[in-house]
Amino acid sequence: MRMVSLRVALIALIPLRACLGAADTQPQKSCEELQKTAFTDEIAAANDGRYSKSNTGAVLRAAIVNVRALKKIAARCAAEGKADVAEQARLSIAGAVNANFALFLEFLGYRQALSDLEEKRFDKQVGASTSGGAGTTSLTTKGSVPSLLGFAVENGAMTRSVSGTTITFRAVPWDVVKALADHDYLASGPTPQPGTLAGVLSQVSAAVSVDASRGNTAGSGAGSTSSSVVPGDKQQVSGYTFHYQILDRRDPRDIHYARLWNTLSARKGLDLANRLNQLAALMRAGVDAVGKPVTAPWVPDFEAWRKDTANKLEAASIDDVEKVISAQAVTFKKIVATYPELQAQAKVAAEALSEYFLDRNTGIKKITKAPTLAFDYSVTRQANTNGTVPVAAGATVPASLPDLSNFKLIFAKGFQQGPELTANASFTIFNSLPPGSTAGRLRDGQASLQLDVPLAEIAKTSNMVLSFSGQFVRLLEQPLGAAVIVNTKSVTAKGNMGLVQAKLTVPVKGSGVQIPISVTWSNRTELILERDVRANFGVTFDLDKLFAKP
Amino acid sequence: MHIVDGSTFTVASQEHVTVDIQKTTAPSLATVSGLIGAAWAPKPAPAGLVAQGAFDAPLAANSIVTFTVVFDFVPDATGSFLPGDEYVVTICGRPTEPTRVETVGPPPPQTRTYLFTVV
Repeated sequence: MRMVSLRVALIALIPLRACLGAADTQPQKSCEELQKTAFTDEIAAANDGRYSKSNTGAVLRAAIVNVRALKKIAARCAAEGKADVAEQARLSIAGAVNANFALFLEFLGYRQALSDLEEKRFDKQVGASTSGGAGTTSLTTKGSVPSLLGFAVENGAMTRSVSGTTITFRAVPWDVVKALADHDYLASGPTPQPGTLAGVLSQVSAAVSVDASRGNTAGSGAGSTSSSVVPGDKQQVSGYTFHYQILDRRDPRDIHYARLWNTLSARKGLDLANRLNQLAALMRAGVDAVGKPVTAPWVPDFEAWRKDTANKLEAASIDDVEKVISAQAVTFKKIVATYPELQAQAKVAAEALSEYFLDRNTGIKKITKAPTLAFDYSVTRQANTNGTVPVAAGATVPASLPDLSNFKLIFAKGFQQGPELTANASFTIFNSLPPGSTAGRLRDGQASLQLDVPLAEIAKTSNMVLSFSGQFVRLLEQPLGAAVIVNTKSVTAKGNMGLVQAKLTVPVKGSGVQIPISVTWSNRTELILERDVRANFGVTFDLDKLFAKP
Repeated sequence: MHIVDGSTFTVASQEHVTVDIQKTTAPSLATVSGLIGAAWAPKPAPAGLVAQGAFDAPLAANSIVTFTVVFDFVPDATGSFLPGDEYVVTICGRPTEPTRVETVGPPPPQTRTYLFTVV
C-alpha cells in the first residue's frame, strides 16, 4: 500500500475576512429591521469575539446580548419617531438584568455553564460527491447538505493525475426560491410539513461540479499550474448530483419534537418557573411561596440594587454594557452572600435550573445525533459537452469516454459522546458503451465507512474534526470505459481497489469556512505520476452559516 | 395598571390583568409559573405560538402579586437561533391605561419576573 496524496487546504483567508468585515460598514438598520434581527446580530457579534470574551462575560451573555440589542432598538426607533416602540424597548433594558434571576444563579456558581452547539455539526456534505470527480476530498459522502447553498472549491485529484480544480455548487431549490421570495431565509423557520409537496421538495438538493482544468479557455487546461479560474465555459461542467433526504430529523425545531418540548415545559420548566418566582418574591417583596410576609431585611438592599442597575444601564454606552452588568452581578452576589436565607432559596432555584437545562441539552444532543438516510444520483462527465475528452499531460485517450452514473445510499448515525459514523453503498454504470464493446454496463460496486471524531475546542476556532475512512471498490470493467494510457501505463485493470484516508477538518469560527487536510493511501496508484507527496489548496464554504449572520 | 418600571406595576384593587405571550416562530417554549398572591383565571397555557392568561388583583391594598416566565429558545441543528425568533409579552390592566409590551430575545436562559402591587 502506497501513499497516494496528501491534501492540505491552506486557504487565503484575507479576502474572506475582508468580505465578512464589510458587514460592519453596511448601512444602519431601520427600527423595523432591528426589531427582527438585533438579538441574533448581537449573538453573532459575541460569537465573533467582539465582546463577552471573559468568563464572566460568557456567563452573563444572555443579558448582555439582550441589553445591547434593546439599547440599539430604543435608540433607532426614537430617532425614527417611533416613540412607543422606543419606550417599550427602553423599559425592557433593565428587566433583562434585574428581572432575569436565572442569569445570576449561573453567575453565583450554582450551576454549570450551558453547553453550546454552535458550529459543531459536521455531518454536512458541501464538496462534490460525484465518485469520479476531480478534486473531491471525501471518500465517503455525508448524509446532510447545507439547506441553502453550498459552495466548495477543492483542489487536487484522487483518481487522475492532472492538477484539476473542482468547484461544486449545491442548493436546495425549495430554500433558494423561499430565500428569494421572502428576502429572509431563516425567518421562515424549519422545514415545511412532511407529506406536503413543499415537504418533499425541501428534501431535494442539486449540485453541479465545475472543473476549472477543463475546457477551451487558455491557461486553465489540464496540468496547468495557473490559478483556478472558472470562466463559465460549459465544457468545464464535470458532473452533477441530485440528492434526496429520505430521513433527517436533526433539527430540534422540527415539528416531530413538539411533544418533547411541551413535556419539558410542563415538568422541569414549570418547576423552574415556580422556584424562580419564589426566589423573586422573597427577594423583591419579602413574601414566601404562598404570599405570606416574612422577615426580609434584604429587600431594601435588593431594591436599591435594582434601581442602581436600571440607572447605570440607562446611562451606559453600548460598549460599556458588559462592564456595567458584570459589576452589578458582583454586587448582587454580595447581597445574596450576606443572607443565608437567600442563599438557600437561590440554591433550590439553581437545582431546578440545572435539571431543566440538563434535560433540554440532552434532548438537543440526542436530536442532533439522530440517524439520517439519503439517496444520491450523480453523473460524472468524462468527456466535454462537445464530445471531446479533456487530456492530461502524458495521457493517451480514445476519441470518447462514456459518462458515469452513480447510485448511492448514505446512512449516518451520531453517538452521544460526539463521534459520527457514515456509511455509503453504491454502484456505478456506464451511461453508454463504445460501438462494438463487449463490456457490461455495470462498472463497479462500492462501499465506504467514515468515522468523524470531534476534537477539543481550541480558542478562536470551532471544533476540529478528525476523520478516518475506508473505501472498497470492486471494478467489474476497465475504470474509464475504454483503454486509456496515463503516464505510460494502461489504465484498464479490473479487480479490487482499497483506499484509506485520514482527514483533519479545521472550521474557521464564525466564517462558514472549513479547511480540510487529508492523507490518502491506496493499493492502486497507476493514475499518479509521482510517488511523492502532493500539497493542494482548497476551501469548503457553507453559506448557511453566513446567511444566519447579519 | 401603571408601569413603574419594565417589570414592576401598580394595579387597582381587583383590577383584571391579562397576560399574552406570543412567540414569533415555532416552537414556543415559554413556561409561566403559578401566581403568588392571586390565582390565574385562566393560567397562560401554550396553544401553538400563543399563551394567554389573566388574573384579578387582590382586594387589599399593598398586596403583592408575582409571576415568572421562563423563555427558552430551541436552536437549529447548528446551535443557531433564527433572526426574529422572539417572545412578545403583553401585559395590560384596564383598557384605558398603559400596556406593557416586552420583547425577549435569545440566547437562553431568559427569565422575567413581574411584580404587581395593589394601591
